[in-house]
This record gives sequence, structure tokens and C-alpha cells, in this order.
Amino acid sequence: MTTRCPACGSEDVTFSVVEKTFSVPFGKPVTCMLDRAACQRCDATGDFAKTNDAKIEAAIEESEKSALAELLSRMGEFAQSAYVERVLGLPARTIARWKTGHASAAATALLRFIVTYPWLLEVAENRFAPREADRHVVRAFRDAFERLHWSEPDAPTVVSATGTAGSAPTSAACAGQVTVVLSTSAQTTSSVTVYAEPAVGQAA
Amino acid sequence: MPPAYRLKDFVAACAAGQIFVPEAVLDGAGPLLGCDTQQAVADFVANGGMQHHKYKPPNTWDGQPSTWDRNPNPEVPVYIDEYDFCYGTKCIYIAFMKPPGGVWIVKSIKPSWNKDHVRFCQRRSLHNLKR
Repeated sequence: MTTRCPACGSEDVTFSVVEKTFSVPFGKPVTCMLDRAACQRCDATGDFAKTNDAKIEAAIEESEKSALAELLSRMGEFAQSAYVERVLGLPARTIARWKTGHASAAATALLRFIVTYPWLLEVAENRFAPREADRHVVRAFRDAFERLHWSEPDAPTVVSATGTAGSAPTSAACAGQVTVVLSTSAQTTSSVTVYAEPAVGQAA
Repeated sequence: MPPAYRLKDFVAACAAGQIFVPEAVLDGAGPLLGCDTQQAVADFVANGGMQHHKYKPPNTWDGQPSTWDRNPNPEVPVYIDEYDFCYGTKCIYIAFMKPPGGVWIVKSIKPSWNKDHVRFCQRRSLHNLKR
């Protein structure tokens, strides 16, 4: 069967094979060989016969499998399966099933969020109460602020910081209203205001 | 200058899988839209992925739409329609054309440089976050 260029209809087409690598977040890169057709008349290049889609999907699926294993391993470092199932309202042994590779795309997406933001489990534990959720966001911001690599050249620098409750913005128990002015480069300066509630047992 | 094609015809062609996405365009669409295959691009457009799209009027000296520069039959010009659309906080540029007798060709998918629409997409995204 003759392959025609989908753009100009020419049959003057040359073929080659190229190596391409695909990966999903948290997954291993998977390499596959793809067909490449090139029209000598109009220069269109690509997969004229649409045979590559299946190969690419297979490579992505393989990467997804490795991502699932990696995500479950990382989640296991900070949360027990039974706890995760309980707070998320999942049927018992759901995570055990995921560990055998039987996880939907939605389950993998959920795991990506949990591994990136482990405190989401605490939000779920508090039955998604908005006030509790806000508290966790503020705490996560404070933790992320402390984790910043201040020595790197492109890291933000604290231009000024004020705290109405007398606490430094990076202190572990910041309370009250804290305004931090960050400068990430000579061109950009951003101001971040955090409204944090007093930590338990601490007067504001 | 109005668009050369009806957008709904392009969307219908995507729904039917009757489009061709060149390799260079796919290489850009992968990291940008998470569409690694031609079918993924077609499904994205067919399922309303071009949110808040805005036709990009031609920027040529005579106001005519851009034409296919590699057209092997230049006597019959093949026009290219260009749109900007929102994808989360991002603003994406897409260009496509329909050569006579051929399938729809996606000419380009890349980040848009249309500052007005970029701001519009960011504002919309922030507005949605506040809700």
C-alpha cells in the first residue's frame, strides 16, 4: 500500500526510524522507536500512517507503571495504607490492590497530589473543614519558605520582613500577620502576606 | 479579515480523527498540553480544549491571512487560521489549515505571545482560584 502525504497528497515520501523517550511525572523514561515519514514535495514530516500512537501510548503506560510503584513507595514513607484508606474514604485493601498494579489513572493522579503535598491527608483527616484546610496551607507555605535554598543565585532574598505579632517570618511558630517582601531578581519584587493563626499554646 | 475556515469544521474533523499533526508540532504539544499523540491532540480539540479561544487576525502587510509557505501548488493558496486559547494559566497559540483534497493540518501549537490574551487567561485562572 502506498503512503501519501496527508498535506499535499504526494507519493514521494521517504521513511526513517527515530528514537524518542517519553516519561510521566515520577515515572521512569521509556524509549521507543517511531516511524518518521517525510514528504519530498512539501516537507511535511511525521507519522503519516498513524502507526506511532500505539507505540507512544505503550511507552507512556510503561512509564505510568513505574510511576505508580514509585508513588506508593514514597507515600509509604510517611503514611500507612490503612490510614490513607480511612481518611480518603476508600474501601479497605484499595491500596493493596494498587500495589499489584491495578490502579486507575485517577488513583495515580491522587497519589501524585498526596506525594507532592502530604498535608492533604491531614486536610482529609479533618473532613475537609475549610478553616483547618486554610491552616494547613499557611503551614505548608511557611515550611516551603524555610526549605528554600537561600544560597542559590536565583533564590529569593528577603528585602524586608515585618511581623505584627513580633515573630520572624521563618520562625517555626509564626503568628499574626507577617509580611515578607521577596526579591527573586533585580527586576521582580514580590510581597507575600501571611495571615497565620497562633499556634496551639502560644499567645498571639 | 474573517477566519478562512469555520472553527466548528476543524473541531468536527478532530472528533472524527481526520487531522494530521506533524512531528515538530507534537514535540511541542507534549510538554505544553500533555498531548503526546496525534489522537490526543484531536481529542483535546474535540472535547472543548480550546477554551476562551480568540481568533488572531492576520498580521500580514495586506491584511490577508497567512498562507502555507510550502504549498506545492501556489496558484491555489492555502490559508492558515490562527487562534489563542486558555489552558489553565497558560495562553496557547494554535494554527491550522486545510489543503484542498487533504486532511486538516495542525501547523503549530506553542505558547502565545499575545499579551492581552495571556493576561486574560491569567486573570481568569486567578478568578477561578478565588472561588
